[in-house]
Amino acid sequence: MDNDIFFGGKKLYSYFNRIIRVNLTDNIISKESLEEKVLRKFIGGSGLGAKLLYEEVKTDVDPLSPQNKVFFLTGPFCGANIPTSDRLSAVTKSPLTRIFAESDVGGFWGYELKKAGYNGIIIEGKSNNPIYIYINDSNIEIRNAKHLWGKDTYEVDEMLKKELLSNIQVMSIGPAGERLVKFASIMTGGRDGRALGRCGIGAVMGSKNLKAIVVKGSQKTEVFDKVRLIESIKSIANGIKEATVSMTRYGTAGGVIYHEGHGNFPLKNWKMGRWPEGAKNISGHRMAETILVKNYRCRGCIIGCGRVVKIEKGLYKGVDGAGPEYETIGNLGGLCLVDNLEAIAYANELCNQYGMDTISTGAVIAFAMELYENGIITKQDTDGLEVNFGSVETLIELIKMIADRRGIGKILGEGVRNAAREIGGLAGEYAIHVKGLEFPAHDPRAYNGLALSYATSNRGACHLAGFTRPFESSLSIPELGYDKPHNRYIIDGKGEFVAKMQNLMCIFDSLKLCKYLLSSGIKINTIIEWMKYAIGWEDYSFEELMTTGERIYNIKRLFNIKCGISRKDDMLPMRFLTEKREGPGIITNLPHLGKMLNDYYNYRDWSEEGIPKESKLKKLDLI
Amino acid sequence: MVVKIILFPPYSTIINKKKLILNFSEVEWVSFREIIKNFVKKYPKVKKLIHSISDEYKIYGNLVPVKNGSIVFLDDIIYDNEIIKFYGSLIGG
Repeated sequence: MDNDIFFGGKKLYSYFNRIIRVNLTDNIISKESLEEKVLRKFIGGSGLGAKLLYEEVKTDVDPLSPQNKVFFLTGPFCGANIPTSDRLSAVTKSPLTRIFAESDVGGFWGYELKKAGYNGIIIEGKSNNPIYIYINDSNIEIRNAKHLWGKDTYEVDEMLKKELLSNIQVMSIGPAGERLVKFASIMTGGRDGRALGRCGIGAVMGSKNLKAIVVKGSQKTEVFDKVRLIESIKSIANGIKEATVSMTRYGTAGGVIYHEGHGNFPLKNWKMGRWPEGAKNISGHRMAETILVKNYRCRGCIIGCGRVVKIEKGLYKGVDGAGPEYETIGNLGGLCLVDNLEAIAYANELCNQYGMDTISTGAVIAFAMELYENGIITKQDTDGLEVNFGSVETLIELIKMIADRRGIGKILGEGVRNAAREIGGLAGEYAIHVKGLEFPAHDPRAYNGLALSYATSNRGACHLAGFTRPFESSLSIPELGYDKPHNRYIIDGKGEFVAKMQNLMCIFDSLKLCKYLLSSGIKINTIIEWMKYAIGWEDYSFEELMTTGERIYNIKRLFNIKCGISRKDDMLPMRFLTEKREGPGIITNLPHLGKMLNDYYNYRDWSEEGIPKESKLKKLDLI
Repeated sequence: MVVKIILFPPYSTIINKKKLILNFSEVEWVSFREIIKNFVKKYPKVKKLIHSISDEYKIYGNLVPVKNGSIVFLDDIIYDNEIIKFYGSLIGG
């Protein structure tokens, strides 16, 4: 009976519907459930996290104060053997952007939490001393972490496994999170290096003196109709495997050469057009030929895009574990003009150990390199370090300085927006971000939808919130009205296209499905089938799914509106609106953001200033 | 000889077919590169997606060709009656 939650005589499957709340100030641990109608409105993962954040965290709180909270949430499919669904969301107010923040991770931690019998854990308050939380099924303890403080994430994983059990799952921050680097990550999986990377959620954990959360579970998730669920999964599993064979073989970094070829790959802090030889040197293809040892698969994954690399000789001997992803190679490599794959693998490992987002780390270093090139900072500012593009030594040293908060690393550890403000003068012109979040490794001049998506995404510059880019180049989604890729250079219809994709991606982020499932042209209807067969919502419809996605997108926006966000913030850096990217094979394009924004707001039924109208919020049952 | 192609989105929606057959006369085998050339020539609507056949690193940006569960390379040899599936691609982060 303990595992069965009944609502009006109806059993709710797939959810355990049990969330842990840990108040670190008062050392109080409690467990709570949510009403089914709340789950149906916000699902889980990012959507439920957004709802809880909106209700529980005042928008004027300092993100690093005890008043901020972190919501770690799985989706309802977690543990139900639905491919790629064992992922985890973390939602909070970001110390980097000071608005809504979400981050997402695969690996095994979310699955283990569900196995322990919980859909999520809410962290609030602040401990006086370093602690970690140990969850072993129904037993939950707050434990002393003094011996772990100062250790890197790989060390913490090893120490806790020795101390407790070898088959626990560990989530921890590294020294960067302890020192409140504004883009500190939370790492899971030890050397497998799976990251809740974006938005500085690791710093929020650090501010609470929370070093790690350890989970071990032994329960099974029960679904509504196992037979039909298995049939449905079987019917699409082979297609997913086949459609992602290149991802399996080369990883996400298999896209480096392709994206460089049409002006999408980041180069020299977004100033350069082409770099074909450099891209080949650091591509997923080169990785497969050299340092790749094997694939890594998150729990429940049938794709296996993760890389495990090993370097056994030379300057970077000893690298052993998670290999760099496309975004990491883009920002630690191309953006800094570093074309040494082994050095990037080492830099990636350092970031993982320190617990720092590789995207923001690469971006802030490229920013410093451009400042140095233009004389805005000099050797006097950098403790004598020559901060030149292409310098491997500089890349490595700056990563260490940022994590240690040493010298210029202290300023850079604040992220590009804050660093530019502190440096002053023209520095802001070189700070590439939206709403304070540094760009990932895709150029918005190559795809108008990506440009609009970066400008409007709730957490700042994000390629995943809309996941429009593949649907502007090589994928179609007929159920949303797009039976061929949406032309990446047109403006007409882009507002509607981006809004629809963002709404759909809210569903993926709340069910915690990996977006790579979309590569096989998976039908939205299949996802609805899974909701029926796993959860038991037999009357679930396409309309309800899309309305739910829209509701989730809007509640995230509402949190941001309360933080002061409006049209003025739905912007791109001037470089992307005024400076053309040119080179052989690149179609020159500058996105017309103003027109697309108007269309986007109209489609969303938001005001000209980007504020959701009351009538829309009523329709979405948000007021 | 004939090669059977099974199409998935966006290729199936662009061409409005789920499968098609490509004919090659007076040969016993062809390279996959020739198949791509023939495919683009016969269905020019897909040219936007397959704009370069010089480099398979670039082809994979928009196309995932699969035979017997494995990726097909440009210089792979394809024999009579073999079946290749064409999927869209989302390679990259």
